[in-house]
Amino acid sequence: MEQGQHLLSNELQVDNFAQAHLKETAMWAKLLGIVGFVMSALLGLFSFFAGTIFDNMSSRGYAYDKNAAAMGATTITVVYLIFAAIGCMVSLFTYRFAVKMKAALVSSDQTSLNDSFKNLKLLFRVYGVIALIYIFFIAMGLLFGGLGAILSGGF
Amino acid sequence: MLEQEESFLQTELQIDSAASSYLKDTAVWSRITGIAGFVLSALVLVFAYIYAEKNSRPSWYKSGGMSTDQLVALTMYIIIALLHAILSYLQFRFGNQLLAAIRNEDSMELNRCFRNIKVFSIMRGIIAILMVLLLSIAVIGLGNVAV
Repeated sequence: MEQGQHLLSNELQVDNFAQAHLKETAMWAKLLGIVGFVMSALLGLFSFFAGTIFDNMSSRGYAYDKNAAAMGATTITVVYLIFAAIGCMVSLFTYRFAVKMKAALVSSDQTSLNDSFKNLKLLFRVYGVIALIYIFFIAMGLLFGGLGAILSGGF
Repeated sequence: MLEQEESFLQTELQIDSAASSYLKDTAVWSRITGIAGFVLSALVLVFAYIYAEKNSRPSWYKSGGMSTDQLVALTMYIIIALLHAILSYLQFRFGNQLLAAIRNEDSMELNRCFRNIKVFSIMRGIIAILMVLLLSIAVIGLGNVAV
């Protein structure tokens, strides 16, 4: 009995209000996950046609030579494939969060709730790392762009 | 009484030690992402300002103003920056409230933070739907041009 009271007083409860918020969050997260999968698949598919598109551009005179166009196509294919893989990973975490959360709320399953929060943690970790990498690249771009402008006498 | 309590313990979901650990980590990363998002939004606004400043110079454009395309691009920059700033604010607030809720074991704060993540998810969902619509229109448009 005392142990029960101890548990009740010390652990946060996911009450009805929280459950309602989490239910709606899970619904939208599921949608986001599915849309993310579709977009990632389209991006991955598109990456394989980059070569053809660049070839067409080259033959129509948009690119200066075929070697540059081919190099650009390969780079774009690799970059798009990386973006597609990251998008797929993010969508997987989002979808898993949604599905586990729904299961937890329907059957009051503590394990599913914990799994759902674990996926949310992974999702936010990926968001954070992507944001930091993005800022790093922008900072590098600004730094080298500024240095280049100073050295070339642009300022 | 004991049975009632046991049944309550079994049916009510809790933030136990494992969930608490995951949520703490989530909150920390959510705050980092929120701050990074603010920085990125500010950078987009700075780029939008530079773009507007450069393109509104009389020497660059005959009439001294921006063309319709440039105005549309500038508006898009500003809308993207504002949307990103709102999403980052929601993420940052979610992280702060989640940390406070776990630290103080405050269920009201926990509810507020879950409401925040709900709004965040709804906004992202609506943006995703709009993106899919725009992409579909673009694909249909390109198809018509190709035909």
